Amino acid sequence: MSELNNPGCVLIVGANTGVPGCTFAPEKFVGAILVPRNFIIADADIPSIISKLQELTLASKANRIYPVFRFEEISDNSEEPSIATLGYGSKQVTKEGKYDWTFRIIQGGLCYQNKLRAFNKSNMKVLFIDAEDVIYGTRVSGGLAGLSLDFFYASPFKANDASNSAIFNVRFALSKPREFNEDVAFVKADQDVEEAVKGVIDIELVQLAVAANSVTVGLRTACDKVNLFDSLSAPIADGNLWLVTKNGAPVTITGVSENAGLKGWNVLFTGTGEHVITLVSPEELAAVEVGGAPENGFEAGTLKVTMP
Amino acid sequence: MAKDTFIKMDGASVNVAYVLSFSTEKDFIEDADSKLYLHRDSKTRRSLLRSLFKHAHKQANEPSKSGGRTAH
Repeated sequence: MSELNNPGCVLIVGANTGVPGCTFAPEKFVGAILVPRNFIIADADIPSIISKLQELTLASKANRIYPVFRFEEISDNSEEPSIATLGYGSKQVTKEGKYDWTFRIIQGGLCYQNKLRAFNKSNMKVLFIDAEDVIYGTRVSGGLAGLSLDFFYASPFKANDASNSAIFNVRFALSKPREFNEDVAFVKADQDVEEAVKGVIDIELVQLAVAANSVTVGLRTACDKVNLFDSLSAPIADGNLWLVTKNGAPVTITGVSENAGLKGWNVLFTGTGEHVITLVSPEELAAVEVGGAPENGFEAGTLKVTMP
Repeated sequence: MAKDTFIKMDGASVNVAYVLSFSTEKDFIEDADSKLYLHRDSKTRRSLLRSLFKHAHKQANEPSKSGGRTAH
C-alpha cells in the first residue's frame, strides 16, 4: 500500500548460507530455444515440458518456438560489474554486468545460418539447455518464461582459412542478469532435449509437369534439396493435406495421386490460369505423421502454377 | 467452406464429390484413367478406379458407417 513519505525501504537480512548436499551448477550450454515474448510453460505443464515444447515447435508462427542446437564452443563477452570509486576511496557497485555469450555452431552450414539471421531483428526471448538436459528460463507468476534478450545475433559466416572450417556464430545478449540468477527457473528433462525438440524444416514445392486440370508437384527440403518422395509418397497422397487457391479463393481438389515416375504427386483440380498450391500447416501434417516429434516438422512454401 | 471428404486408397486420394459427379462407373474411369494411378499398369489402374467408384457410392449411401476417409 502506498504511504506518504515512505521510500519503500526493506530490511536486508541476507540469506542462510548452509551448503546444500547436492551442488547444482549449470553445465556447458549446448543449445537454446528462441521463444515468443508471451511464452510461458505453465506450472501444470512442467512435468510434461518436453511434450509441450514439441507441440510448440509446430504451432502457428505467433506462438512457435525455434530450437537452436549443437553449440560447440562459447565466447563469454559478459560485462564485469561497474564499480565506482568515490572521492574518499570507497567503492560502490553501480550496475551489474550483463551476460553476453557467443556460441559457435558446427552443423547446419550457411543455409541454416541464414535462417537464424532472420531472427536478428526479432523481439524474442530465450531458453538455454545445458549438457545435462537442464532447461533454463526465468520464474514468472504461474510458470517458466523465456529470458529477456537485448538482442540475438547470428553473424555472417567467417571464411574457411585452411586452418579452420567456416565459422557460424550466434550471439545472445541477455538484458536482465537477475532472471538467470535470483529468478532462475530450471527443469531437468528426462530425455535428450536436442533429440526430442527439433525445429521445423522448410520444404519447397517444385512443378514437375502440368497438364489440363493436373499438376505434378515434387517436394524437397529447401536447404539441402533432398527429394522427399521416397519417404513421404504414401502419406502425402492425401487430398486433405493439399491446398489450392486461385486469387485467394480455395479451389476444390478432386484428387491426389503418387507419380513414381516423376517422383512427385499429381494434384488434380479444375481450372485454368494462375493457381497457388501449398500444404497444410506443420501441425496438421504431423497429425498424419508427416514430420513432427521426435523428428523435425515440415512447413511447405507455395508454388505458383499456370494451368493450361 | 465445408471440408471435402476424400477416399484414400493405394497411393491416391480422391474427392468423393468428384467421384459422385459421374453418373456411371464407365464415365468416371474414362475421366480418371489419365490422372490417377499413372504408375500402375492399365489393368490394375482400372481395377483400383472401379474400387474407388464403389467405395465412394457406398460412403455416400451409408454416411454414418463410413466414419473416415481411408478406404482400407
